[in-house]
Amino acid sequence: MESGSIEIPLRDTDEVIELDLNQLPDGQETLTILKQEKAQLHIWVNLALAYYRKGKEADMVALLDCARQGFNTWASLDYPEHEQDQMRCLDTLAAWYVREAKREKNKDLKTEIFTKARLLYTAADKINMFNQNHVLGRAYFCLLEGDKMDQADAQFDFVLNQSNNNIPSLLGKACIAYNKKDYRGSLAFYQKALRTNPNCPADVRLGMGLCFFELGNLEKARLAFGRAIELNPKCVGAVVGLAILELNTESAEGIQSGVTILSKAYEIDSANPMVLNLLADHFFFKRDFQKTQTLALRAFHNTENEAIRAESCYQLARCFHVQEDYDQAFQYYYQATNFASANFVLPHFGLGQMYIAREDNENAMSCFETVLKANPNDYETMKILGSLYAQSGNQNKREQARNFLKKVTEQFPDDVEAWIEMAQILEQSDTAGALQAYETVKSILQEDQAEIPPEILNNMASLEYRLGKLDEAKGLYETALERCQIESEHDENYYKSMSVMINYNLARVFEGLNQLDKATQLYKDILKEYPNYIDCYLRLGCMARDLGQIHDASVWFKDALQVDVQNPDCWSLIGNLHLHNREVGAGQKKFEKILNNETTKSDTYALVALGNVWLSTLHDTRMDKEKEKRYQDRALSMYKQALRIDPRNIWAANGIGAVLAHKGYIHEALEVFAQVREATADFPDVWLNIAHIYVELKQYVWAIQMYENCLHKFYKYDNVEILLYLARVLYRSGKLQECKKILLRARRAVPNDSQILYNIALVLQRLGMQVLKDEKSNLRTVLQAVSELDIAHKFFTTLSQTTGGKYNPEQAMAEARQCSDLLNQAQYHVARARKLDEEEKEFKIKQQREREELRAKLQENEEEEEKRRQREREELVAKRQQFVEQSLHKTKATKERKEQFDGTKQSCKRKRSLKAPEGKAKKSCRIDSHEYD
Amino acid sequence: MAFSVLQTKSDAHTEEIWACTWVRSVKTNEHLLITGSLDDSVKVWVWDEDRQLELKHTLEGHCLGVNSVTANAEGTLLASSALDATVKFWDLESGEETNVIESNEHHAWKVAFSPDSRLIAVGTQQRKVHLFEVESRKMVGDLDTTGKFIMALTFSPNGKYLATASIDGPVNIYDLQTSALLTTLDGHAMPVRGIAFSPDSSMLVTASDDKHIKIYEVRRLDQSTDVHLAATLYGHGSWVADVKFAPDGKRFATGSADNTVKVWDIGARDCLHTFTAHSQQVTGIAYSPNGSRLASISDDRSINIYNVPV
Repeated sequence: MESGSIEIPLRDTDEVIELDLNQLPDGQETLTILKQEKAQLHIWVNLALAYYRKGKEADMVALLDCARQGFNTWASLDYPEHEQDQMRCLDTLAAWYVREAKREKNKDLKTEIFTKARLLYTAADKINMFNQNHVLGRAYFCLLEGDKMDQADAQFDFVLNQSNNNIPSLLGKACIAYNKKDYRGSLAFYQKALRTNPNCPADVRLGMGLCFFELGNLEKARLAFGRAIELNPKCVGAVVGLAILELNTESAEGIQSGVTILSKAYEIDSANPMVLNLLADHFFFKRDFQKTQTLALRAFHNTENEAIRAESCYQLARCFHVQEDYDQAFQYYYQATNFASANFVLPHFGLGQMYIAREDNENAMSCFETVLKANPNDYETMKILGSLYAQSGNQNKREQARNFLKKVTEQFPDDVEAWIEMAQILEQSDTAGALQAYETVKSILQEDQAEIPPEILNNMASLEYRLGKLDEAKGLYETALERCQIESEHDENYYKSMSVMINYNLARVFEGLNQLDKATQLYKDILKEYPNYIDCYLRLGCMARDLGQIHDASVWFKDALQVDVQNPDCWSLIGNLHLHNREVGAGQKKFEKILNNETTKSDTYALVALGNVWLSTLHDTRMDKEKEKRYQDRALSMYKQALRIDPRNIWAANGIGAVLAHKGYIHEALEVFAQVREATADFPDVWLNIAHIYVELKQYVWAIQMYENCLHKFYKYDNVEILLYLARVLYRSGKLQECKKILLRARRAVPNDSQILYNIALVLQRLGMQVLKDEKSNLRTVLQAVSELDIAHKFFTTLSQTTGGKYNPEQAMAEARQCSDLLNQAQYHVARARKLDEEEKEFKIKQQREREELRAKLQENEEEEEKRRQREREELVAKRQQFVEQSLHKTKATKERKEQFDGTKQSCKRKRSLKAPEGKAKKSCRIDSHEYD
Repeated sequence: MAFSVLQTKSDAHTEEIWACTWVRSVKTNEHLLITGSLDDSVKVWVWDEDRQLELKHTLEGHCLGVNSVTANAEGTLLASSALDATVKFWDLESGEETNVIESNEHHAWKVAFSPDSRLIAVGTQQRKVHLFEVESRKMVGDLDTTGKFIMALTFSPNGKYLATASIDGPVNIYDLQTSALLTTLDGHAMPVRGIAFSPDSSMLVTASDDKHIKIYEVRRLDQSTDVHLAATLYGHGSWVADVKFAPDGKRFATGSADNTVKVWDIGARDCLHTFTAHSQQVTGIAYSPNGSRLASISDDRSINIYNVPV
């Protein structure tokens, strides 16, 4: 408190009016006096401040405003330091408006008040821009106006440059640093302010406490909050801080004392939004949702701070959430996310859950993605996102889902839930992997001595079924049924309906095991209890159909229609029965019925089936170009529509390939088929189509291989359709013998098919012709050909006399004639072949004889030769004797070396010539033998 | 001894094997397994417990694949039919062709000897069964079935009945004395490729492309034509191509396009054992006359001989 009074000098006199600061008169009165006496400005300002201190803010504003408007008219500036007081007047008033604006909740009014403040500051700027207090005032103004933090910071710096211990600047900078999350920096400013003025107000301690809190130094935070409360027991911020510290211990006592402290804070300031939010939170955990709602709403209305509002909305949202009022919860979560700062992600989590409840997975994903961005390792979020991605049609997302769950399961290998999610994702793409994941689930549960729920057993069984391990599937389903039986005491209806589903699955396994009696029994048992279980009718119908009992099948399908007259699967099955019976029109109508129905109009099966109807009509009937094109286009549009609905529909893609092939775009068709086969190798039609294309391209070897592979892979029995394709390509590639064998296999499978008989006859005829034409054919081949021609002739004759086959009897007659012509010529061929055969035989005999003779001759020669050789050897010995004698004689006779030399040469020559006759004799012998040939 | 494979004779023929029968020759006392194949040949094998299968004769003369072989009870005479629509007779001891029946117009499909070896039944395309006297090779009977193409036919061991199976499923049973059609069993709606009477002629088993085997009670056929379906057996995964009774009548065996051979118990009406020794469809089976051995033939060109405990 300052000096007790202020004097107002009276105009033109030496007298003064003394105003006691403790007993200030009415503001208006003072104003009148000041105006009248044209008091110096500093008196106006000081008095205004005096009123302020007494809490009479309106009077202060009135005084300052009047002074400002009446510079030099009502308030005298006739003294040296008047500029400083002008600044004070303007800045003080501006600062007051700034504070008012901060309090104002109405946006328009707020802007209006801020404008007043801005005008005052601008006026002050003109007097002295660099006045320290003025700059400070402006800095705070910037801070409060928001988004001008950097400007404020610069202004504080400006002040600190002039006086480096300026406390308001230090506090301002501390505040800015705090907001910029530079808690260490903020703390430094606060500490500097404290050193400068150890008697700083409680707020400085509070600021320090908050910094410590953020820096994780909870002990120091606690001390700072305590000190602040010591200094100012009503410092709500510090009380709240203490309460949060207590609550965060998450211990029973901590929460207890935290709540006690909070209620103290509430006593001090029942409108403080932070207090209200914290209490709301407390009551939420007490499950007193009414209180939570009230408190959170009040908090919301008592603040402009978006972070706090986000918190309030969040509290409200989750109240509605637990009370299952998802619409309200959704709205508040949504608002909360709008207010929330980037690191407050809980509302996103809640909102995501609401989106899931609304089955809006796209938006849910983006919510959880936000959460995950803020907490990249939060495994709960990863799990949820994983599950959402898993349901996504996007391959990348599904891949990501797998990654998430892989991370989660790696991090928490005992998280059963995560493993189940993992298994469910893998179910779509990796059956064996999914099964593995379930095995893990199973072993975790077993380790915990927990029973394996029937759901898991059922899923595992289904996977085994998919892998073709039917016995394993059967065992698992049976165990699942036992579990259902035991669990049914907990929730009879649930487990009852699950048992029904498992029984149905089990029946499918029995079908796979070819134990149709057991399957039938199960389906019928289910129907006894649940006559609306439509799939059972359908399966019973399909089984009858596969047994060739078409009528029974249609009765079952009609039963199914009694349950659901719009069931598209059922109509499709009936349509297929018609097609099987070659009732194309009736079949077509069934598929059209499905597509004309509003609820089933995008049934891709029906679309593809209808496409196939158009396509097969194209195959079966001859039509002109125009009509052909129309049919092609109809088929194409069906397939395209199916692909639009389901881009991965391989049957539609296959159909498009077929239409392309039909239009002559062979290579394009092949491309399409290749892609389909890449997508799945378990689709025989596409193998056949690829083979057909190879036939078109005259790549017969590949076509043959493809047909054979298809036959082996998909059909164990002699699939006549494929055998006939195979026969056709063998015939085209001139492999008539192989073609004959294949046709015979086909005939054995369906001996009553006269067309196959026709084809056999035809191949026999061609084979016969080929053999007869070939002059080199041997007798055996010719005789076989003749007898086969004979058979062909008889077959053709029989066929020409029967009607009703898929061949032309007249043509058969013509072929029969051709056969008989060939048979007539055959006598010549047989004779020729026989002659050839006899000649050959004769020749062979002759050859044999000659060989014998030759061998005899050779032997004779050999003997003669041996004799001669013997003779020669004897002669040679004699000659040598002679020669030795001669040469001895020569050496003796000649003395000269040269001669001696020549002599030796000569003797050498002679030596050689002596050897020669041996070889010559042999050669001549050979020539002799040649002559005999 | 348990069920086991005693021998796998690979490449027994150069093409798919289509027909087989097993008989004991009263003359030579040899166990003869006779097989017919798409390679046009009929082969006569001697089964000896020590030396196993040995080729005795290769009978040549058929064209277009041998589809059916049947031997008389004495094991001396063989009849075979092929897709060339002829039926040939062979002397099993010498391996000589003794006679031939041409049936081009009628397309003989399957042949069967009567139990007394006096008659041979030939099933044809024109839904007819021709009965020939073996001795004279003269046609002595002509049954006109109501069904379509006859896929299989067999005499009842007591010589009273002839059963025929049609390509669209129905099975007809005729009284041989009166040539009257006694009953039609329409349990199957797909081709029936195998039928067999039990040795006491009280039961008839049918095997069909619908993967099923049906057992009919035919004991009282002379009193009532209302035949009782005793059981339907499930288990094969594809066409059932052949069915044969064991001589003791307690069991029967089936061969299927699912590559397996199954042995069934008639009392329990359950599968006792499944052989999986073939790599392609099984086309026929035959019990040895003493019932302790079972032979199967297949598209994989091999013959398997099994031990089948009685």
